[in-house]
Amino acid sequence: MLDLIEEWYRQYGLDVFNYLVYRMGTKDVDDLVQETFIKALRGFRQFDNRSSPKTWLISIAKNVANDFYRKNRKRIISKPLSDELVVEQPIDRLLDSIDAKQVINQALHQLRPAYIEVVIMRGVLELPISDTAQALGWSESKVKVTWHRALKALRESLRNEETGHV
Amino acid sequence: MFDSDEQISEADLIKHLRDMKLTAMNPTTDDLVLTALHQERDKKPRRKFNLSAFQSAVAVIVAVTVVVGGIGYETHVNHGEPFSTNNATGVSTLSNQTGVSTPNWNSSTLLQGQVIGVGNGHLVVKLPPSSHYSRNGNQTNRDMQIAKDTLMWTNGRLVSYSQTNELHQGDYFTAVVKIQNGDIIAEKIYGPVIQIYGRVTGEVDIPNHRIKVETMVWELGKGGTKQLVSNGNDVTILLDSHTSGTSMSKLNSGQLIQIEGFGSKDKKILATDISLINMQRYH
Repeated sequence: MLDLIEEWYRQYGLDVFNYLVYRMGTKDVDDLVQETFIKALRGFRQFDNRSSPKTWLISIAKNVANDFYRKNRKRIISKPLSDELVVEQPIDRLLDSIDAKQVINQALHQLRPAYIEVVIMRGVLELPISDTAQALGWSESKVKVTWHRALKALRESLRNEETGHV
Repeated sequence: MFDSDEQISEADLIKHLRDMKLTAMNPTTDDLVLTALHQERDKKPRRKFNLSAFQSAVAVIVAVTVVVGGIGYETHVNHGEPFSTNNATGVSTLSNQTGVSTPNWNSSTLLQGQVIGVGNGHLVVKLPPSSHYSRNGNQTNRDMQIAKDTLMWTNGRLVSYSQTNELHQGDYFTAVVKIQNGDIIAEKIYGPVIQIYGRVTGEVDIPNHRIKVETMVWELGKGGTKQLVSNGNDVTILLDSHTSGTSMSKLNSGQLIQIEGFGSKDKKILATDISLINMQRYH
């Protein structure tokens, strides 16, 4: 069982990491990644093959993040997300990329929680609608509707960030 | 970056979101997660006792038979004194990764005690009354033989006992021993057990399981206040899979910690437990 969880960590650890980074707004999520996989190991019997391992792990990560928020509301400190960027890019594109990530990340966290979840899963992780629905415990139609509303709200939020009004 | 006169298109936004996916985790993530998973596996499962009256009776009869028959059965000697080793099974991760000789406990031959006398080729050691090696349950003073090939953990490795500072009266220790004709013979000695206070200096070296620490001592101030001040010495703290307490990932430069472990106070210490010090408790 441990071998399988380790294999899943190697396959899907980066997806879990990405989910937690954008969910928490910081790269300092090692402890949460660790907790996600420990919970997966302990709760392995609850995995019923109805969802993919990746979807199951992300749903665990979602619960871990929610628990963390509940317990540590005041402790969450954002760390710039730009320090991992690949430096082979031309400098103008690199700067543009840094700005885009930071601005979108800031705008993302202005949204309501349901929109944040669906933007990370559909937009960043590129999960199919069915997987997103399973991870969030929603119907597929709810995912579709929320995804489009979230994109609209994010575009609006980005426009407000650019023009300086909220 | 985004044209403020015109809202970003949905397609462009989706492309930006896709590009936001990070291509690598933090350098520390792998180590933290995989180590935790292995530690989780090594935890012994809790046994649930759910005996019927008949099973209980059988268990009592078997227990009485064992006691009356005087069956000499070597049990795990881990009695929590002078300190408790949190996990007596498993393989040292530190020795695998860095070549440092750290305890690879064999649960049937682990002995903990205190030196109460030093003889010629042996130590007189006091064992806890609960120890299997304390005769009749009340004779807790035993001789522990030092052989030519007895090793002792010193400054990050096992060396011949004669080349070390040796154990002295009053020292606590843990030893891997073998029993021959009723004699206790030390194979590997980890000691003396020491406790120090320190401040983490520089980077916490998670891959190599090492922390640089400046040692601290308590200083009494006016009004009975106490504060920790540096005594000017540095020490390297080594951790392995048996080290309990605060995780390395939670340690940062400048933090005050209390360390219990084996070794010399001015060299390398193999930590058995690390805990953060909350200074507010001392003001």
